[in-house]
Amino acid sequence: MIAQFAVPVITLTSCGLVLSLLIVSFETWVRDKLPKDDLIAAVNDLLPQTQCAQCGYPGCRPYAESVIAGENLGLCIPGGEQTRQALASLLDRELDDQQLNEPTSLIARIRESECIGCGLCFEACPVDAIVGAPQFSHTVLQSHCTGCELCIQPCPVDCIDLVSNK
Amino acid sequence: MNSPKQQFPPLDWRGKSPEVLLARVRDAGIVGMGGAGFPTHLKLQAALQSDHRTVVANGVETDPGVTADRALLKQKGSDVLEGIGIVARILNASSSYLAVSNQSIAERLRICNDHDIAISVIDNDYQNGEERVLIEKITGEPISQDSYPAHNGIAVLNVATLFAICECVRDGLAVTKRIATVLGKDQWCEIDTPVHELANTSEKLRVGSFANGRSVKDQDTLKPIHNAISINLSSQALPCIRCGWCDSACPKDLPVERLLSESMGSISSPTAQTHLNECNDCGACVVSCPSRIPIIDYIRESRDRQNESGYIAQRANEARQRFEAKQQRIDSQNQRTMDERERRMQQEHKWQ
Repeated sequence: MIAQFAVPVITLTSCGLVLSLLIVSFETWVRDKLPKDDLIAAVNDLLPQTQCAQCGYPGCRPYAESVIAGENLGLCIPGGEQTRQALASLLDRELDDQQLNEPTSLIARIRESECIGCGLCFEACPVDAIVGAPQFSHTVLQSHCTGCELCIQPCPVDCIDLVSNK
Repeated sequence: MNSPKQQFPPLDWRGKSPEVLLARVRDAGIVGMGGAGFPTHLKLQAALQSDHRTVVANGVETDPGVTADRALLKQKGSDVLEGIGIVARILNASSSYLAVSNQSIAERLRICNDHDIAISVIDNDYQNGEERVLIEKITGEPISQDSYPAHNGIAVLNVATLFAICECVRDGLAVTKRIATVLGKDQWCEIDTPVHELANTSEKLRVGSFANGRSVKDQDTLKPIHNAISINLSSQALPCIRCGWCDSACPKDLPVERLLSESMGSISSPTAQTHLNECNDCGACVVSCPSRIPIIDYIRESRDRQNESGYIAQRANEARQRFEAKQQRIDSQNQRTMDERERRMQQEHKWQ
């Protein structure tokens, strides 16, 4: 009587276990084989490309690479909540409740009468939006500036403001 | 009404060279008064690049409830004809046309026509006031959608623009007033008068026709490009009932109902994105809508949104390219420094 039930139960359970093991191992194998560059590029496309390094990585692409490796999605401050949601839906990840603020659109502007032409901001600018010769006044190209704030800290005379983009 | 401001000395335009006349049109700051507001001298300069040049005066007024051009042709018809003559002289045009939508006005103008202008009557179908359609109706030759009529040597000008050209060239007057249909009544309005003062009503208003005009805010004033002030029907809008009349009304065969529902829900599908820029804001869908939905407002809103997000994406892409270029430059500089150091170390090694 017991054997009558036990044989199919044991057979089916063991079949199920073997199959689930197979599926899991296949999935991990496929995940390793997937083209990672495409995924990084897709994540990078969602980021705002300000290259501000506020996430702690030296640019948008390095952050995209670490996001793939499991980094927190909510580090991109210029992207704001919108970017966080977009990243989560692309990578199919759960989000915690802590929301980011809506980003403000700012650009840098040099008070040119106070600029001493040291060129430190020029070196700090990640997108070549600052132009000027040594010992001459520098200026920010408004159409190129991403508002990353990286030029503000190096300026020795503190002559760079962030102003509204509008 | 105050006497119009004399801005320039009067010109006897028949004896002046086309360059002088064109400079006068430019200095008077005349723009297209049919609604587009394109600078007229630029349009004429573009037409001058072509070999065969034609003037088409657009008096076909098909916007619902707007009669300003008709009233202008009735009151100042001979001045408009003189304006066509001036533009024909500027362009040295081989032929000039005037298209009107009313038989009696055409007959009246033919009496005082001494500028060799072909006056034709075009029926009042909604699309006939659009410049490409109008040119095809008059000359029989279609203009491709990729190029503007001015690039083919055809200058299409609204009759109000031609009246302004005539006044500024012949009499040297600045554009300080225009005729506009204010809530169904044609009247001469001083430009830059507050719209609410002109209409003298507490209703919500639009400048332009009720179909494709733009909503008026508190302090908005009448500009040279506004040919009418109408009631804004958007506060009376009912929910969309999916009748599909807007789809069949659209002269460009766009999926209007889909664009509307996507815009109401702030969605943008790839199909809608390609269609949004094809819409030329004619407002035929608004006229057809039984629920009085201001469809054109929704379409304009989602088009603005799309253009803004496209602009942001474009800026992000440019920023990335510059960032990568800078990284590459720094890398190659470092590499060069290292190579140089390597070379010198080898040299020193040889001396020892």
